[in-house]
Amino acid sequence: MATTAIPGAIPARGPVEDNYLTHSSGFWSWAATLDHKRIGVMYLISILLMFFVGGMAATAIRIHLMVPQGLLFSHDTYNKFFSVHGIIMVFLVIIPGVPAALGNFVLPIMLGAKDVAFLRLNLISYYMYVTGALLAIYTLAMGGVNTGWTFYTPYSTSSQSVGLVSIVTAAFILGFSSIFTGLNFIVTIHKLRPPGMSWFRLPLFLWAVYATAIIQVLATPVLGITLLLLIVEKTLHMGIFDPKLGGDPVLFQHFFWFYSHPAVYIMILPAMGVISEIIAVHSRKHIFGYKMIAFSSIAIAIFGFLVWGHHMFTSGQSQLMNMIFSALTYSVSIPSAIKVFNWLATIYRGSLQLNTAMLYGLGFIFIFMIGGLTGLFLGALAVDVHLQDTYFVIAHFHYVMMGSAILAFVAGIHHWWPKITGRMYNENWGRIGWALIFIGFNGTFLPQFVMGTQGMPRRYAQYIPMYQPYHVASSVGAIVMALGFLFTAFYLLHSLYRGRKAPANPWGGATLEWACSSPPPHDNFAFPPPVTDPYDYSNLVYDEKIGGYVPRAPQPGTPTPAPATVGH
Amino acid sequence: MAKPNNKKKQPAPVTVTPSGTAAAAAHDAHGHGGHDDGQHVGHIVPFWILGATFGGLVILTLLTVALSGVPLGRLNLWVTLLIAGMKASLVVFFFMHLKWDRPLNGVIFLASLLFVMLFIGLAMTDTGNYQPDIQAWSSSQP
Amino acid sequence: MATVHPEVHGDADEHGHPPYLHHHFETPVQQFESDKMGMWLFLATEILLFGGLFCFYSVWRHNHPDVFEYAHQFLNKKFGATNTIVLIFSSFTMAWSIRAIQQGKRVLCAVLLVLTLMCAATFMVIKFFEYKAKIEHGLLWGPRYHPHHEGAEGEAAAATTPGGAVQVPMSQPGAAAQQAPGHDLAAAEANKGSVSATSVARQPQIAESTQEDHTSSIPQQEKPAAGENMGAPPTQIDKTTVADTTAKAGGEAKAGENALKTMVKGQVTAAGTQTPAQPLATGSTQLAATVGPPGVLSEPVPPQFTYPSTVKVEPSKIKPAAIPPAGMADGTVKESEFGPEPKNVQTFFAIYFAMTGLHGIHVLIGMIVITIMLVQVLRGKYNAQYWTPVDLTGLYWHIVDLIWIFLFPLLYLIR
Repeated sequence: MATTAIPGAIPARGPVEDNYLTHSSGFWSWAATLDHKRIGVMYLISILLMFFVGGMAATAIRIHLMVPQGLLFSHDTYNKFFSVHGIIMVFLVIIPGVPAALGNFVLPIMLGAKDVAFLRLNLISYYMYVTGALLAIYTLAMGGVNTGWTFYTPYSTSSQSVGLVSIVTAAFILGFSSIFTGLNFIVTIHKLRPPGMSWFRLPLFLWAVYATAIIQVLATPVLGITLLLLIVEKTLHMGIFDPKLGGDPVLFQHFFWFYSHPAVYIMILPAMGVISEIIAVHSRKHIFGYKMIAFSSIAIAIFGFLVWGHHMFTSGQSQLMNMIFSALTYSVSIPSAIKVFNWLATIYRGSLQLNTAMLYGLGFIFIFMIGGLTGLFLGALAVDVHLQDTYFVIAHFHYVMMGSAILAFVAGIHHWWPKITGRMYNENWGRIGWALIFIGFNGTFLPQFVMGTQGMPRRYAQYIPMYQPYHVASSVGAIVMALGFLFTAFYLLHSLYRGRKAPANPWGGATLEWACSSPPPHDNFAFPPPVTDPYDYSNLVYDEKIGGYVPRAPQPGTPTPAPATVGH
Repeated sequence: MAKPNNKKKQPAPVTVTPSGTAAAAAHDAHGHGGHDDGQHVGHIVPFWILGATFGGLVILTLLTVALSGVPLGRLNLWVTLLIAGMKASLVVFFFMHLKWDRPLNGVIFLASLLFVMLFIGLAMTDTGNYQPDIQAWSSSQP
Repeated sequence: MATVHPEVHGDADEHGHPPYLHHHFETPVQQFESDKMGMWLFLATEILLFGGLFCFYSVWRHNHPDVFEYAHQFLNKKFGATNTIVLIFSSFTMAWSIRAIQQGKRVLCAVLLVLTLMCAATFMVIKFFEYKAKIEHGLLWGPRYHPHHEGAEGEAAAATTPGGAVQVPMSQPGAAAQQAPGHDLAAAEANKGSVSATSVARQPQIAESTQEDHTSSIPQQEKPAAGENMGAPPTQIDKTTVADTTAKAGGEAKAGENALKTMVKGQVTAAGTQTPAQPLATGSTQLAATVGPPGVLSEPVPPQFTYPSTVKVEPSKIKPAAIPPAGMADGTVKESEFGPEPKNVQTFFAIYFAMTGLHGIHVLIGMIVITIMLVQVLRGKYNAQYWTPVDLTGLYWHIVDLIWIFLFPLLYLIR
């Protein structure tokens, strides 16, 4: 195995390798585990389960909207479906998504550490996630809520949605799960770096997760207090947001969006980090503009706090603040654009390996461009007055949240699948799955842009017949996409039983997680590994025998460049 | 963003000696601990500082109560906040040990204050700006 | 090229390491600093949590200074100041207890922790008495605000039902006053009164809600008559959307549905509810209202638009909750020993209870954690070698104190 050549890696001990999966067995060895890898796997399974539930809700919505009168539900049930779709996808899938599932697994290994800083806190984060998920499912069983995932007052507090208190409590608990994960990651990256891992040797995925963690820690508590106040308003009628009791409903929106806008950057930043890794590795080329990408992650995190009012342009916000938020919204696009330029420059003159993860990566750039640019449309005050609460907004945020964040999550799953499971999936099936998803996604949401500009409002259970062709096209796309996801799930699960055993470094990555075996051993590293440039692929060659990359053997007589390891 | 590598002067250090001193001593070379020998953990606050902080806090409390009886117009709020800020600084620097702690912890604390002020500032500006609309309407009501 | 430092071993078990050092850390210093940093990050989240409440406070005080100047006088300054000194002293004993355990003085540390707990308990007891006084005087939030001032006549004091509507005579359009059951009408009128009295609500929303009060309690009323009460007639769509969502009078959904059927002739409801993202309905009239110059609400133009008859109308199945109206009624000015009462005083108490309540919960949590620390110190688990958890508990306790340092002047010492 290639691992024996790397100092610090634990060598294989015989035919059955001891890795984190085989290290201990039994229910409690998983339920009470303190191993970040196992916690990451548990998160991954839970999140994908919730994604399936939310996806079913979405499919139901799209089928319902195929005819103008609505095919499946009453209006109230329709409201409940889009509410549950939003709540599950936002709080239970995308926000935990990459950080909790992939971050938990990959971060310590990529960093060169043995684990995250706070082990029990990590496990508590996971159980808080499970509690929130169970409460959400309980709410669904009780009939759900019809307020939309945004819980706007005074409707949410004055209507008799019986599920409101339980779903808001679920979101509160999930918020703290998110906070503790972010807290853990910040301390881990600051304190548990091995010798030689300076800030500018960190892989860009870690920069992205770090920036995300900052947002998680600073923004989520405001969601916490918002939800607490919502519960108090609903149960005790405190009169904070309800005008009939002397409150201010626009203030609720300020409270809500102060978190929820940075939340979308929690969703997209780790996704961008994944894409940075994938594009560099699969282009076999050093990432272009490393420092700019790193700084742009931090910039997005900070600027993301300054623009929440752009969700409130038509809600009664004052003219002055409308203008300020609109101007600030344009500033957020700059760091995102910097990243896109750097990715393109990385791809240019690279030696592309068009495997599944790379296809998702390339697709990401295309989809994120559309999503990001349409955000600029919405950031313009005059245009937003026309487009707010239409399908244009829905298409925009699905392009960034679904097409970019979720597809990057899927890309990351593919990229690190060999590392996590020790198996290779069938590459051809992967490409087919990607094609279905990519075509289906664009088929679903491109017509929605047009529909939106023509005035089709969002969250409507029925519509006038002129929009029907767009709705039908969108629904057909959704079904194709759903089939794509089902097929993806199929071949990934299939690989667990029939997939080829994965080598340590199937793709030729130069970051530290590729230095240990696939799957990694329980302790990650016996002692801190040497740190080199994470994007220098010149030392890796493909070994046909194992089907993966190995470090190039040093030629006798040539001095091997010693990587700087002492001091920072 | 280089890792802060400050060697702080430690008044009256306590030699807390864990058994793994070899590991700790060697770790010094990596700059992780930032302490002179990587052994002792933390620093003890002298008693007189604790007492003086307590005394200062009590005095400032009495001061703020007394000043609330003095009509200063719009300044009252700012004086109150100023004194509260001073009390907070005493608690944070001395009771919470921030004066002798790594600067990053102070940065974390300040960042949270900054974001609170950002939130309050913009929300107040917005709600303040649409009050005239509300008053115009309510005064036009019978 | 090896950079391995042989003396730093990952598997430290074989080389003996302090029992409190977790395996994924290399040195106690690394662990200590990580723990500290983690705690400071958690404190940052606490600050942001309370920051939301301070935002609520700031917004309200900025826009309604009269409410604050009036209502804060009901708070007992002496109790507040005592609580402040008590908490400051508890912070002192907490910090001292950490110093003690760092020096290995277990008993002293335990005594000081006990003192801290006693101070915290004193704080909670004083708080209890303050709350009790508020409850007795009816000085609560929202609809529970029914002040019984000594020596002051307030109509609310005379005619309150627990959480119920305030019966106040109102001058109303004659037709409305004679129809509908008395209680509901009074509730509706009180709603209208309290609604028009609120100064933070948005105009069209109030218009629609009062519009709906009339429609739901007077199903037979012609809509032009109802519309005439308002300055700006909302569109059909607005009425239906609002009827579904802000109906309050007695929660009579059936009356609402009847009203709906009489009003809505083949028009579609926006999915039976108002579009949540926009508290104002999506008709073009609202657009005109929102984007006009500030302070000028333009006359909305009803759109000439009808939906085809194939579109089915579905009344809302949502029963609106019956929220008792706010204690304030329009047209009457209450008096207390502090002078005439401004409108919306109850929100001050909402803020007071929300902020001190959340703070009190944190004090209770702190007491639990300190008790655990006390037990562990007495058992010797935390000692001169390893006292980090006591240190972190101290940090938490100081934040609780810090928040009170701001709460006290902002709530009790307003001028």
